[in-house]
Amino acid sequence: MTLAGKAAIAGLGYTEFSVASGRSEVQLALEAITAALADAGLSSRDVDGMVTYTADKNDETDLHYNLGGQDLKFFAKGDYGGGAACAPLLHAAMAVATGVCQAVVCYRAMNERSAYRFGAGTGAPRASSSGSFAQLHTLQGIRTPAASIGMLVRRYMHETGATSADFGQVAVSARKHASTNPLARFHGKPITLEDHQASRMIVDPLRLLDCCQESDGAVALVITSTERARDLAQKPVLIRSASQGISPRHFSMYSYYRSDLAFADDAALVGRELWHQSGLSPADIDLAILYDHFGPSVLMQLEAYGFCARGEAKDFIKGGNIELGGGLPVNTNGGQVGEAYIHGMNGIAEAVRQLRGTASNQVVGARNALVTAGIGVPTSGAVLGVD
Amino acid sequence: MTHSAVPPRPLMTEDYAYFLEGLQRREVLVQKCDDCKRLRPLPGPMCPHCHSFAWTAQTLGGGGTVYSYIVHHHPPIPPFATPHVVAVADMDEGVRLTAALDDCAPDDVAIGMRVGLAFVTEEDGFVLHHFVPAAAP
Repeated sequence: MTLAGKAAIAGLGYTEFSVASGRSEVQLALEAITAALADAGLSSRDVDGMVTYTADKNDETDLHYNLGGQDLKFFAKGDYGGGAACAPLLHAAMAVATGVCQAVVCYRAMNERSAYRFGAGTGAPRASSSGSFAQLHTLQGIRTPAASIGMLVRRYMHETGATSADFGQVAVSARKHASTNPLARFHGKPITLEDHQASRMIVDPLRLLDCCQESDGAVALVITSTERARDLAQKPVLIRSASQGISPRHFSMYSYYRSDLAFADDAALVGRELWHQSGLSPADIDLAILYDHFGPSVLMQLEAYGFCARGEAKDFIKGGNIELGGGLPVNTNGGQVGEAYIHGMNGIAEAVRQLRGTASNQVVGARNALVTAGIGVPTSGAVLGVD
Repeated sequence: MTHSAVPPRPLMTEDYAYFLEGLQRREVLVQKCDDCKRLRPLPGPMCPHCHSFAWTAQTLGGGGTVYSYIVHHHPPIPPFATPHVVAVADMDEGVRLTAALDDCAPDDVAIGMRVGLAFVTEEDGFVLHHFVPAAAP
């Protein structure tokens, strides 16, 4: 038995993405969730499961109360920051595939830009062994996500010959997609490679225009069995596979104690599981939403998920190959560099729009999409598709 | 937007206490398994290789080779100067160690460069290890 195709995304909802939402995170979550339920043609009384990230500040109890919910039978949170982006899909799919739940809501809502920017630096560590581990690094001055990930990117450059200009091509492609996506923070604002190369260093080797756009906003999904989704309001988007991944000796944020930091082996682990579960391969994928907390992670994931060999991503992205009309359109919404940073769940929303055929930058005839989560932390991914 | 100040002092959780206590004596300690004799890359109560709980602390000699590095520019994170260099090094004993790299201009740091250990005393008296460029042989 596998999970392949047993569950589907039946509803999608989201708020606008901004620098200051002007309302509470609970309200953002509720706006997205009620929109997703309406999209599916379900009511809050139908919801019997809720899943999110541990990083989300909205507890299920608050949302369940405000929704006037009935019997909630399953709730789970995926850990490790943006590495959790696809974990709610896995948890929800398992819950409906096994009959534990009939309809599960996945949500991520945050005033991350206006209330607590991750990029400002880490706060007090947890009183635990993992807190002590983190503090070994924060005391040495690795105190922001850019610093944490920059250490991996520098080694990647050393081993593959990839340059800052190659990373700039990822940013240019993302901003090109964002420029024609009305949902995007950078709608109508493309950049050139020169703009990227002139942008200031945040943490060398990462420039300002390599960094995602910290944002306020919310996204929600409704997951049901595929059988039930076929009777609901929208074309079902099937969860063909979903997985989380921690590979040997992997830690979170400061995973520097594996032998080889130039390869995202946690993402490769997720990839192997996704291809195995789904029976698909990279050649079957029509578009990819590759988590871009920082643009260079797109190159590392192209290699880890098997779209090209190690060290070849810098060539793979050339000539518009990851743009609309290219061999593998990537982050067609503009990614988190160009649309917004809603911790990856806005990327899942884009994949759903693409597979429904309703995206602003539509990939014609898209049938299968890969969606991924942050690297440099334990990660997750999913393959979504339509019949 | 507020930047976090210096984080609270290290949490002396049981499994990390030996490392932090070693630093106060100006030593970087690693655990060596009493049974299979392997060095551990990170603090932990059990040997990941043979599952023995018996271990002895060994002091690192201090020599290492830079495996990767960053140069932090933004935002400012006191007490570090801006910009400042942080490196991950392969220590000569075969374990990795992460530390700020002092006395090294951002343009001078490179993968493969040799580093040594230095110990810095913070405002409240806490002693922490840093790297410094190794003296020419």
